Amino acid sequence: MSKFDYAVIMPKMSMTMEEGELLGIRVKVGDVVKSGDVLFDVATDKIDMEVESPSDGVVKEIIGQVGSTMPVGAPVLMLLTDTQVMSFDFNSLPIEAIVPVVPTPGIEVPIVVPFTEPVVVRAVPKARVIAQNRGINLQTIAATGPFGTITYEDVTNSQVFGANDARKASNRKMVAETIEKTRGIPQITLSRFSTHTTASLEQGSAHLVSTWARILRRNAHFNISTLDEKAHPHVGIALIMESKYGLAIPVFKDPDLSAGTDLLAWIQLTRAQALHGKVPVEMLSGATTSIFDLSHTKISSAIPLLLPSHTTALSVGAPQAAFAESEICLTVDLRYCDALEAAQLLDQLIDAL
Amino acid sequence: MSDRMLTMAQALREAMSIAMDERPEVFILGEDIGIYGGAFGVTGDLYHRYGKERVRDTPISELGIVGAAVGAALSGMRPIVEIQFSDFTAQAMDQIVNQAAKIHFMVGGGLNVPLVLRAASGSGTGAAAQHSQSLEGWFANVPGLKVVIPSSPYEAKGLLLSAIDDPNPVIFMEHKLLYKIPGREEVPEGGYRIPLGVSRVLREGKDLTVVATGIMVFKAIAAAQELEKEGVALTVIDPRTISPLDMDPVYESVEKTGRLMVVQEAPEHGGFLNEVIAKVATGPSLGSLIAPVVRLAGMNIPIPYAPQLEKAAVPQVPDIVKAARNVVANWR
Repeated sequence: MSKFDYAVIMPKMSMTMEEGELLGIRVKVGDVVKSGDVLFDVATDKIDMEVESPSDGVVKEIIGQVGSTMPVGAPVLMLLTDTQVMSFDFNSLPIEAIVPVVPTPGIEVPIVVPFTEPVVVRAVPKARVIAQNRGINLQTIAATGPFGTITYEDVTNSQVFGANDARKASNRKMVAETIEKTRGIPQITLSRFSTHTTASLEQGSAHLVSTWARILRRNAHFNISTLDEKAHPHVGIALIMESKYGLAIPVFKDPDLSAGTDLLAWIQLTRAQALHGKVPVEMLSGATTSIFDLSHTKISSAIPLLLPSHTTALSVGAPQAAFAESEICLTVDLRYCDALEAAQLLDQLIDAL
Repeated sequence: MSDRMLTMAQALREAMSIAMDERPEVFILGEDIGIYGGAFGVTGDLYHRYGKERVRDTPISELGIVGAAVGAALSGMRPIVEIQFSDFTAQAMDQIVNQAAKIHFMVGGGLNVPLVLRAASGSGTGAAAQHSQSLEGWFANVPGLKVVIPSSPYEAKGLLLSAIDDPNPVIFMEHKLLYKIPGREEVPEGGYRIPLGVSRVLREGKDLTVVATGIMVFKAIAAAQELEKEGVALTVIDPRTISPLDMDPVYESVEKTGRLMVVQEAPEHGGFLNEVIAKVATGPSLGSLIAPVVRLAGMNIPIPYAPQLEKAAVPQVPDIVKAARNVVANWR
């Protein structure tokens, strides 16, 4: 049964693309689609492209109007999917073709570095700060200030500025709608301080992710889907992190089976990718639990919220300076786990840490 | 008008009188400050009220006056030196810079030099190039000296009492044109203190942060009142002491307005206002700027004698109005 809403958006097909024309929609409401099926066609001033379905599902709603021009990030249609897809596919930037230079054997080819005039962008400091925070390329902004300088208003009035805002709002709405689904579930949240110390916060995150995965693997009856009440064959940890479009929730599958250093590098890479709005598409589904990691902030604790079909959710607060103690909170679905079992589970986790 | 709307000369005299009542070790020395009552009438009747031992007329030797004051300060007195024109501090520079400013530090804090040097500064009186300079930047560049620039009678009284309380040398730069102008606010009776190193935000507006000292505070407020009619709102901040310098209110304001203007009468080149700009450029509010910083300062010339040129050599209210209007209109 298809359960999850997924917005298929106007993709960003080139560095400078801000909007695209919707040439045609190849599906209608109710159509069953497979991952890779063409959903709609988009035209920009550079290229025309077919946009494929990111997963199997059913077309729930058509939002975009054929012939209209839509900003990057605007939802074109909604799918109902079988897999839980929490974040947008941020990974739609095309990779620039790299043409290797093959020297003729025997002949020394002088390396010629083509001289290109560096692009000078004049912008007031606040325009730069805003551009950086929102991932706006200042080269795409028209300057109206003295000396050809990009002013504060040039950035805040630009379409890109609004587009990122729209994307953020749409992302937020989606997360909220997803959380809404678990609101009626009877649940309890327990917390305990943990004194585990690691060399860095990032190592702390990796340690927690892998330990939590190990504990859930050992306690398979908490690693089930509430949809069919069957145990998952894998452990998928959705790690909530910051993205320039709001929150990103990449899923780390079986992190306890990776070596510690590999997992650390994996998390660091994903965090950097998420910050730039790109999460590998294979990391967008398959979660069986979630961790809200606040160790990089100053917040001491937050009540974790259950994501749909999960029976557990975890949060970890920032280490409190004097004792290096972090508060770990666990929320459980009481239909599948009673309060005492939850306490034992949290004890197991913290003792293992 | 209330009888507490004093001029700056009256407010300064009141502060010195309170200090002399509070502490027997406070005394004043300088040229023509006794029977004559001071070149600008600041000491007035203090000679008759406190006697010639505590209000001491001296020969015309700035080096001698400051040297005597440094010695007195080292021996437990609290001298207040008046230098008729701040230009004449050049004569006393060795005593100010090499002695007063350094002694406390060179004996490991074992001695204090509780000396206040009041000097009349600035242009506008037709006194020509050797009697019209604004030299506060010289002293702000000497560690060990505190530099105070009062902008009104209320400020002058509270700041001078704090300067006299201070255990080490304080240079007190009084703009000549402010001596006779009544202040914007009443001067309380009694010995209130205004701490050194605390800026004052005089008015708040969303469009532009103006940092000004001394008489330029007076002019900036006049400009702000004029611009208010056009819908341009200025924040005016008076650092009150340029050394130590309290920048936090400036950072906070620049974060709100995104624009900064600094106004001083002293020449632009190497002037104190550049320090304010440098601190903003290297400090937390740089990323809030939406416009280039505006500098309004005196021209890089000796102050001319001809009255029209003298006026044109330093920023006036219309200059501030025009520059503020332009920066707000051009950078949004």
